[in-house]
Amino acid sequence: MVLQGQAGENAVVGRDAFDEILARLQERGYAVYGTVNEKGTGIFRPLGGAGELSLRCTGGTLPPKYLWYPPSETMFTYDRQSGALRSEIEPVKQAVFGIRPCDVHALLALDEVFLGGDYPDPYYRARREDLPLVVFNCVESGDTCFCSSMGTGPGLDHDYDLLITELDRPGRFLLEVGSGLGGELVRDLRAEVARDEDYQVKHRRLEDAAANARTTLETEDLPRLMSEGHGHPYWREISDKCFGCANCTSVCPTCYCADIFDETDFSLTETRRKRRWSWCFLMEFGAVHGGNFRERRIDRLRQFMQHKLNFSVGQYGRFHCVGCGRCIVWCPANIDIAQTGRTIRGDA
Amino acid sequence: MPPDCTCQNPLVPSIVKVVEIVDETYDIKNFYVATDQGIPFEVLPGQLCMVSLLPVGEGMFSVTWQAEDHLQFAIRRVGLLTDALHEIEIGQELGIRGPYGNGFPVRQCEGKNMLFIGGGIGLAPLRSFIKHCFRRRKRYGQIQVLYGARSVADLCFKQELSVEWPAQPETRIFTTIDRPEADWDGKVAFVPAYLEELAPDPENTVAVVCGPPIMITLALKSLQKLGFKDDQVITTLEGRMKCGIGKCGRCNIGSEYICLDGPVFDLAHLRHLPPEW
Repeated sequence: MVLQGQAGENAVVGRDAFDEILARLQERGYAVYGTVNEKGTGIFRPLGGAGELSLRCTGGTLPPKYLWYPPSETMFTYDRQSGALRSEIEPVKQAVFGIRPCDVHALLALDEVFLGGDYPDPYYRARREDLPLVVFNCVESGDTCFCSSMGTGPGLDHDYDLLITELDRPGRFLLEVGSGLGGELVRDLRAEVARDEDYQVKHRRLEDAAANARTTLETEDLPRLMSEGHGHPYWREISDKCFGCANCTSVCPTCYCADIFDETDFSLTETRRKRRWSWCFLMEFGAVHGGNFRERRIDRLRQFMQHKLNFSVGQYGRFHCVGCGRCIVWCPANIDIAQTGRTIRGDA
Repeated sequence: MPPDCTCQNPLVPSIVKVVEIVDETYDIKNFYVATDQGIPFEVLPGQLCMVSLLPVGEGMFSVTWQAEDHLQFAIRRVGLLTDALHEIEIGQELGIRGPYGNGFPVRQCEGKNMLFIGGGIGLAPLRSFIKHCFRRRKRYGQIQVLYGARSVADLCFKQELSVEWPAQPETRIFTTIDRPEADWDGKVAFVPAYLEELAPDPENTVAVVCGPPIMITLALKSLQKLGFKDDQVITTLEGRMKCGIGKCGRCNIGSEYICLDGPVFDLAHLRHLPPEW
């Protein structure tokens, strides 16, 4: 068959289709990022060719968050001679090839933070409005993944332009078209008709991936139990091990906290107001004149985990933990947010 | 969004000029700011504004008074930005954005007796509410202001405290300092102790508390002892806010942002938050 390029259309394709999709994204002016295995780990970086893409499950050690929420950005410049403020916000054309369902959910969480409410953020919007997503469903669970507990994976059924699921014979992929743009990326491609067995294989592989998750966390009633567990002795136990290094918050796909500050270069002619990632693990984060909301490390560690497993639900109606497991991987003290949730709720 | 348009950008300030600077104490100045047209925007008592002094930085300040043609911010010198602000002169341009936050429940308090309890620079946000009450004097019952500072030199708004406010009908002003001083014949006591001594009647009264964290903590306990219910006590919280619009996460407490959901909370609400404030 030949793909018509319509939203809702499905087919089975080979890996050669990836090259075509990548080429078409690039032709349309997108900088395309994907998960590449480098130095023994997966990272999101600009793709040379589709052959570089890692199909291994897990979305890499760092989330693609930096593409829509850069670690540091200039909000406006201030000309010190004229006193003029200049804010230049250019639309950014980026695409992600191989983003995983958990990271798509993290992106949707950030959409609510930055674009919801009375003050939509124009910097985020410029990077978000034109952001094609070619999603890889996860057919295996990583050691620290618990997306199936958080309801964010291993499969996705919304908010993708193209959705790709690896079937059980190597080199065969179920391709699902989720948008008009997704359609354009595959129009006229030669493909096999997707048969019932292919869908059955997809569902079985996703079910297996969920069933084989080695990390789990029951989320029923979790926010209330976390609130009641504010004084649980486990917080002391883990905060005694915590280095306060902020690795967990640095690799979290939903952390959005920031510092805003003025920076002047050596010419002394121009000042830039910048926004830079910040982390609740920093001592200065909760500092006010004459006090600190979270002076002790236990307060700061608890703030991070409570925000993910409790406060975010009150604020946005969803957990700002998508179960990607990166904070667990990166913790030098083996502190585990899923274990913490289980312990506080009494399931450990 | 067109590249040069800052009109829809909530993070780019508009420009105001400093039209007056009043030295309140050795480390507190009251800055009056305005545009050529007057106030940059309407502000309610207790609301917050982000004030920028480029190229030093930006900070969140509570409005001290929303006059008809200018806004006032009483600012104590405590750090990099406030040090720099204390060096500026009349005519200086500042960036401003806002207003942010809920402000004091001025409407819901109508018909009530008002008890304002302030410490140090904590009088600054209360003043926006106190002066609001005096402008609409008949809408509020008795007004009592209990204000304390470390020393006589630390008392701000002295003229109002000693002359203007006591002259208002049904109004009592109590001022105290922490330690005795030679030329001070007024009260010497910490605010919470003085509060318990004065023992104001909780009946139909709302207490509004703002001051240093330790004073707030103790004053809330004293109010409870005096029979004030949690929903009769309101306070205004602070955080080192960077954005003011619920994105930087700095003022997060529980499921609240002080900038969006506060800064004014009643005690009944605060009791539902993690004990971090």
